[in-house]
Amino acid sequence: MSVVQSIEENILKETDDKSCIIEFNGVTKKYGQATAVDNISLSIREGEFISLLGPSGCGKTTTLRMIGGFELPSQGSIKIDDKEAGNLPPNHRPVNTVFQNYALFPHLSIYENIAFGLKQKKIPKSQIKSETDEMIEVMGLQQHREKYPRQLSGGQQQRVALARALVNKPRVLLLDEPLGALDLKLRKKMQFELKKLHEQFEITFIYVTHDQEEALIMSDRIAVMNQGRIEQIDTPQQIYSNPNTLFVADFIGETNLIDVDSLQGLNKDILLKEFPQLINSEKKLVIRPEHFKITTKNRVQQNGICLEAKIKNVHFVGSKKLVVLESESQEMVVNISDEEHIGHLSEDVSLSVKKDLVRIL
Amino acid sequence: MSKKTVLLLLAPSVLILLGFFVLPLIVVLNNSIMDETGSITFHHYLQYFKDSHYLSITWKSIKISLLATFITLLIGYFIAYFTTRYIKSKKLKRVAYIVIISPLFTSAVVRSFGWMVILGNNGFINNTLLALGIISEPIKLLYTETGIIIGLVYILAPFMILSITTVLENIDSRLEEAASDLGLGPFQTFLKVTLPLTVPGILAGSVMVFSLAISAYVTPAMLSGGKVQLIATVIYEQMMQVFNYQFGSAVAFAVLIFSFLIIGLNHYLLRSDWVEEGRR
Repeated sequence: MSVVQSIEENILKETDDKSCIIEFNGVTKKYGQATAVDNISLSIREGEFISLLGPSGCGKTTTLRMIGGFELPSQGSIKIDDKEAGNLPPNHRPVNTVFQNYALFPHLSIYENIAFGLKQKKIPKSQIKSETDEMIEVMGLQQHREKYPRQLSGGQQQRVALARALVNKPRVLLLDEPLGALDLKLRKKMQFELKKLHEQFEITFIYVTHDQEEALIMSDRIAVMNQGRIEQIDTPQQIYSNPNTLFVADFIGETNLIDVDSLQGLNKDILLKEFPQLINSEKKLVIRPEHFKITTKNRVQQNGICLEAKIKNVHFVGSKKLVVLESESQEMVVNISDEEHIGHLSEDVSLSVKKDLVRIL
Repeated sequence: MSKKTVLLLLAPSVLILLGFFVLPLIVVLNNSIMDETGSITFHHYLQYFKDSHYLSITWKSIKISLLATFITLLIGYFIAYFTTRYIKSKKLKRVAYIVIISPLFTSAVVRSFGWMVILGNNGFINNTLLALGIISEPIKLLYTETGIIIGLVYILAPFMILSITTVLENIDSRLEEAASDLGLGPFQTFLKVTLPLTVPGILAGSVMVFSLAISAYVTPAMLSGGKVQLIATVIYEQMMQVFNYQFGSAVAFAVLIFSFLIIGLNHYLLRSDWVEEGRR
């Protein structure tokens, strides 16, 4: 744990030194009465892979579209590379976008799609050709050069969309849920490819997704958004283990949220003895499923909190087992490894957890 | 379902098609290749293709139809673009569509009369221009080729507008965003993305307007006042006034073949790779 933390601090220090490429200052976007983005401030560092993560309708795509220039902020300022960019049209911004459904030009061949942005710049034809060809090779699209977008599979179209944006050497690449349309296996593969491209091109990636696992795997930092606001910006590790708000705790990974006040009986007494601040409080206990240990009844662990529960159900999910327990009308989920033995269904067991792994939010 | 039942179910529509569309054509074709004694002859076709008078009428008809198609395309594209892109509210859009197709609710005779009133020497246009002092004597609009073209453009515009609107509405707005993302200004985006993507609509609308223009009778007949002869008026004259069914049929069939050629050309142009690929 301490090693991880020190590495993390190093990363933080390192990225802190880098200059900031995009800065949001009190940005609000309203559509009529509805507020899509509510007074957010955010600075994105040069070269980082940052994810905007949140449920649909949380304002993450609107935020991305304001960076791209497709939406103009109702209030506040957006600076790109230290220049005010809030009202610049998309064609005057040093950013490129990979759209959700790729938005490839159906009337142009793959080569023409990728060369599209370069042809706009005043550079010699031979250079356009060599740069486009190089990009086609990087993306492994050589045999699809003369085909049209509709002849390609989803994964190939995805690569064309990436190539079309990256060939322009943008300062920032915006990705709007680019993997949403792919199947699970391809998505996993593309996640690593994206990460590789990020290292290769050394530019800033801003990645919009609602898939927390995807964000955790790929990002240097994650901004968790909810109802137009940013709830927390931090490294994936910090977001997972130190969520600032109940929303973040609930949205990232699986969590047991325990409302102590609504409990009765022995468990309530145990928890209130450990956390006296919870008496008559709105706050909840947050415990990750992997932090619980299941033991046979009355074998209390040292320096741990021990709750009574009954096994309700066991689900096998590949590498681990997911155990659903009931503890005084409160349902709890616990992850255990596949080999670990637990009791029978509806057997009474003890649930123990170390006190320092329990968070109060 | 067995093949027999399919054929049985198809039979009524095939019979209707044969009876109402193919049979009259065969009668016309039959007329055009028969002489008075009932033996087969190509005399009427030769007469038509050899007579410079008829050829110049044909050429004039084609010219007027092409011009009308071109002007309809320009105006129609503009209106279609405006209604799909600039009218945001759904209600207003619906109103706009009703306005666009409303001319089709009345007969061509009524609408052509309207234009006679507007285009005449004492009509709206001339009176306005005279009152503004832009012209000193009326311009001759009615009973000229210009008048016919104006009338045709007005009457055929809805067909063009509707076929372009359908295509424009189905263009993913993200394609235009992608173009501007890649550095294109609004006009370049239109030229390189929007316009090429509307080509199918442009071609479909143009074919429809052209074939309707070249076969139009009512509007040219009324707006020309008999002073400008077109192919459709020649056919009418031969059939209904001279009673030369054979020659009239030959001319009619020649026009039909010409229209087929145009539609074939359209089909060929539409077979560009990306449109074909999209259909698979």
